[in-house]
Amino acid sequence: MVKSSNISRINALDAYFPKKQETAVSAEIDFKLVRDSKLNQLATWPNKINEFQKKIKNFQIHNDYLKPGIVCHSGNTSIVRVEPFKWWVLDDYSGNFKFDQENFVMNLDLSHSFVQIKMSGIFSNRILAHHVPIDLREAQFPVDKLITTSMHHVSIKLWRKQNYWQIFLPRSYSESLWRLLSETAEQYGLKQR
Amino acid sequence: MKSARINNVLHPQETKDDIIHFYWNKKKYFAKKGDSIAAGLLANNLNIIGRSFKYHRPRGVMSAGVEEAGALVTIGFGARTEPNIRASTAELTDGLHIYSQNAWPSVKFDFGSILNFLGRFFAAGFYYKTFMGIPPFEWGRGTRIWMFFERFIRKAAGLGKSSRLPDPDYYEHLHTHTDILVIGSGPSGLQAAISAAKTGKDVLIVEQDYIVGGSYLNQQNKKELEEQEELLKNLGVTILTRTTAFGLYDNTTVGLVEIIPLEGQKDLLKKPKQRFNICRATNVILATGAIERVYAFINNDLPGIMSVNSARAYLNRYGILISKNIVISTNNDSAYETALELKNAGAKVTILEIREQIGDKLLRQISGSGINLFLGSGVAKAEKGFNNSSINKIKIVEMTDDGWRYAGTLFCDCLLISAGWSPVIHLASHQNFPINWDEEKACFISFGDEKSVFLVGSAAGIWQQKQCINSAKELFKYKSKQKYKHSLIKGGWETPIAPLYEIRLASIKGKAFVDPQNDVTTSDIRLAHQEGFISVEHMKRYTTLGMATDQGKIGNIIGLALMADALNCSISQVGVTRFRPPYTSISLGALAGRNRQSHFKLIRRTPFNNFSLKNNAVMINTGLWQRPWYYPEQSETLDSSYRREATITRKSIGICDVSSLGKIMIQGPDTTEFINRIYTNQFNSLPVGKARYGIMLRDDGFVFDDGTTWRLADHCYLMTTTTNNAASVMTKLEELLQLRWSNLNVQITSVTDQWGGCAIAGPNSRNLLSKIIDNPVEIAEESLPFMGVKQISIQTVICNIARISFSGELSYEIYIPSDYAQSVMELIWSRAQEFESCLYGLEALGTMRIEKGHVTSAEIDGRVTIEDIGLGGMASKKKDFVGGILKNRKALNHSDRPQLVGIFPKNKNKSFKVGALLNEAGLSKGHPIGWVTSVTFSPALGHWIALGFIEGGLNSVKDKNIVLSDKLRSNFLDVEIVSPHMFDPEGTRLYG
Repeated sequence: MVKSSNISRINALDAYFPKKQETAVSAEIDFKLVRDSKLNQLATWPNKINEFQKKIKNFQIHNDYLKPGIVCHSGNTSIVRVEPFKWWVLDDYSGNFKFDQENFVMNLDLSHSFVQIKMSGIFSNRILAHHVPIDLREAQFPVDKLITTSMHHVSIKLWRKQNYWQIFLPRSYSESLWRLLSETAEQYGLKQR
Repeated sequence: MKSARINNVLHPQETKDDIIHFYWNKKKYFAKKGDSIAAGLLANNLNIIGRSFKYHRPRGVMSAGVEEAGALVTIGFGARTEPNIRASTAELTDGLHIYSQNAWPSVKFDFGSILNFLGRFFAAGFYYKTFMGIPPFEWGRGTRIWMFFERFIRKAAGLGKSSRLPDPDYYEHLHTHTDILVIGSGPSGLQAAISAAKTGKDVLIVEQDYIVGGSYLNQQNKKELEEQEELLKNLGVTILTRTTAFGLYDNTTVGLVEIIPLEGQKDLLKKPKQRFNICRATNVILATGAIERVYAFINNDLPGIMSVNSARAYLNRYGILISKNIVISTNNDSAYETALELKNAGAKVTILEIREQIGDKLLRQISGSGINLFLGSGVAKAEKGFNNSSINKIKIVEMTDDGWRYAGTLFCDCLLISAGWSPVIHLASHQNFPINWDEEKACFISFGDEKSVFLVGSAAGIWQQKQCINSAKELFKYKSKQKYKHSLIKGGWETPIAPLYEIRLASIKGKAFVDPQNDVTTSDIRLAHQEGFISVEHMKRYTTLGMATDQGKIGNIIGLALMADALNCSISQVGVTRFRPPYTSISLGALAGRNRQSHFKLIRRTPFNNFSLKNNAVMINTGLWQRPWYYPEQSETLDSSYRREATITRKSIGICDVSSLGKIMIQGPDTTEFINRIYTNQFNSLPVGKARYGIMLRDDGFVFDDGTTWRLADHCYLMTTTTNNAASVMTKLEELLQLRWSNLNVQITSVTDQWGGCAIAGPNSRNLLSKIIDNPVEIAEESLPFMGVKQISIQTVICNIARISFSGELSYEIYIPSDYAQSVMELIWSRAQEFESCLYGLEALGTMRIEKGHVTSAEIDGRVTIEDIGLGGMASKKKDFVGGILKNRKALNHSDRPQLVGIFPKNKNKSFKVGALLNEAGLSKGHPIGWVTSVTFSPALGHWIALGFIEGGLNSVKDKNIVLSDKLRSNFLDVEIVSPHMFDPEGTRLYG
């Protein structure tokens, strides 16, 4: 959420994406920047997992949230297990998933740690395949799966959504990785702005 | 040899657009679209393509495939020069420039060919023997003579020369996943792909040629190929042409290189030239075909001699009749169909059949065709014409009970050889799958791994096309690999092959080539045997057989057979060298992909990067991070800039980007205990809202890293690390938590990218901050004392602030959420204009920390103990910590260990550099007693200063004259050893 003061939130890739995002989506390849994203991490421990589960139960989320890399939804908020005892809560603008009980769960705001890009178009799988070694075929990587992989030896996260990929790039690497990605996409019709 | 296009007018379906032009040694010629370079050259009757590696013998086209050992050319020019391209497989594109190789002044008349007459001096092992030193003058001193002759040898020998200019094209990587990968698109490959696709699997078929078809393309009737292609299309099989599977690796991972056809300037700018495709398949089917062999006889390398199958390819695929007077020498059934086709195309054809009888079917096939057949005959020598370098006649021999007997001369201008077939088992060999010599078929055969890699068709030693196709069908019928393997034991010839590797008559002299690319002769193999290099691996290295671009695809078997003969054993007993990737040569560019130039090493940018650049920062790469080095004003140099920055900071305010420091959030009920075990000093007494400087050791007791750790809440700490060691510290903490202390409820997360860090230092720093933060009371001395930590808000943005100092001044470090960092920094900088202020970079940061005697990775270089850097008092005696036991080793506690000191030049006008050594005066030779780690000009002290280490520390050299010596730069000066705390040792400035 952008502050009302002189202080504005500036995404690391702001310079590469127009503020007013074009609505027309290229059928071949299209990128959009996710601005003002919200990302909170919940962390627990093996001996506290039961208490954690009890708390999460209140949100009526599908039990798949316990499986690694399966994104589950509660309203507009999504939750996914990213490490054995760490979950990411995405877009929780109301702060529902922020718990105070430090003895069984720890909150950590990571909203500024990653730059998120949405990639769509018929060549999006192909462009990703130039950079990540994982199997992107839908049977292996269905909608709402999120995995950690590497691009040029840098850890990134990939989330398959209904019609596009959401890519999480570490903020400090994001400009270098974006240049790499967009140069690859040029051969598939991306016009550099 | 006179080769020409059979019908040089356009076919009805061809247009003028199908005519392309190319340049051969700068002269313009015409060809047809779809031609290979070799086809284009042969269509224009250009038969001498290059000169050989060592003897500069004329070489022509020997094949129509990847085994080509003679027709190597250079294509392109300038930065796009590509040497050693196989003319037989490279696609001829419109306007292509092609050059011959290893010849001067021209390929037809080459001065280097004089080496052919000196051949007896250049036998195998020539370099090893000659350059050991000329006996007896240079026993054991051989390198000098090599150094002299090397330039001449390198000029005379070799293949093409690559450009010295940077490659202007780009390359890329691709990762492909599929259920079934079929390598090769000949009859068995296409059938395997079709059968696989019918089972509902994802199928990818790769073909090294620029069109699909394999041996189908060499046949006159292409109906079956068209039907198979249509079927593949309907079944949704992915087809990649111009793609070579160059290596088979663990877990059915296959290295593919795809050549991208580029048309015009637009493509050059956008498309990669080659793509390195890493394919991970569940199953791999090798339908890689087989390569037709030749045999050794005198002058078997002359232009005009090639394999039978290649003549068929040029005839049926490209419409080129290789010659009108052809002799075919064979020992198997495969040559007969080609003989008939050549005859029907208008050539006079004679067959010299090694076997003394052939099957009825073959006899019926050629009877009445006008083909002359000589049974039990072969070739002993080929000879060139008087004013021609190509073949003109051959000496033929007949088989007798004792061997061979000269039988006369036969005139011809083309000799085609078929001495059997070698299945392409290279990829199977890469994985060390069993490879066995099949005596009946006279070739090596592999069956893959019996789990996920299978061979079909002629790659499995099946010669008849129908049986090849069946082998692919059967693969999907049998569940048991054993049954499948059994079903493959079919597919020989009607009349068994008569193995033949060499024809030699004592009365006929000359060079008979085993490996024409490396000029390895039959004599070289025998010499290797004579000199004891009898293992195939030794023979290969001694003679260079099987090296260079063709990797012995033609010559290997002949070499093995000759060695077997010399050893009086069978080929299976001699064995075969293990093939290694790549199957065909691939460019380094493809392996590098996009990881070059600006993408070679990714850059990490801090959230203040744009702000720094806008404010004229000169950036420097420190590890992966790009950081501001200094901020020059007008014509300032680095020196004048950093001196100004340090001066203004000590006088008023300096602002510095410190975002690259590692930041690790440590959370959980057991965090205090965890941190207390990590650091040498006590952390369990640190209250919330306070920071503490800590040292951590490696397990071996040496210093690992240092930094401040802030207690933000009861169970929440923010640890900062050095920029260099951020990842190592994170890894170490994870290791400790996961392996040693898994009972601790602690979680750690890197938050380096979450926060932009900014240091505001100098006597006016508090005054500046008071103008910026929402509630200035929060940073008053009593609210935020030295080493105090708290959350503040700047225009409602929540930031963490700590009153800590690296510069020795009253100083604050503010951590701002990264997306707000630039805006907050702009606000800070705009308000800083009300004071005398500056932005300072890494150089000024270094200056101020050296003045204060603060260590960084220049001092903590992995060899120092906590005592060495003067912080022994921070090692608690009341608790255990990592490295605490081994730090007490005797050797780490000697009083004469090098210890951290400050260094002043006695002559204050003198300067010196890092790396200089310290010695006692008069003892500058031998091992030094100290060294310099960090140097700067100190604006505060007005002269150059340094940090360094000296044996025994300050006290041990009190009364000694110490000399600094920098022998590399010839700088020697007397220095004074002082305390490392060279400026404000009492630390009064920390309090403003």
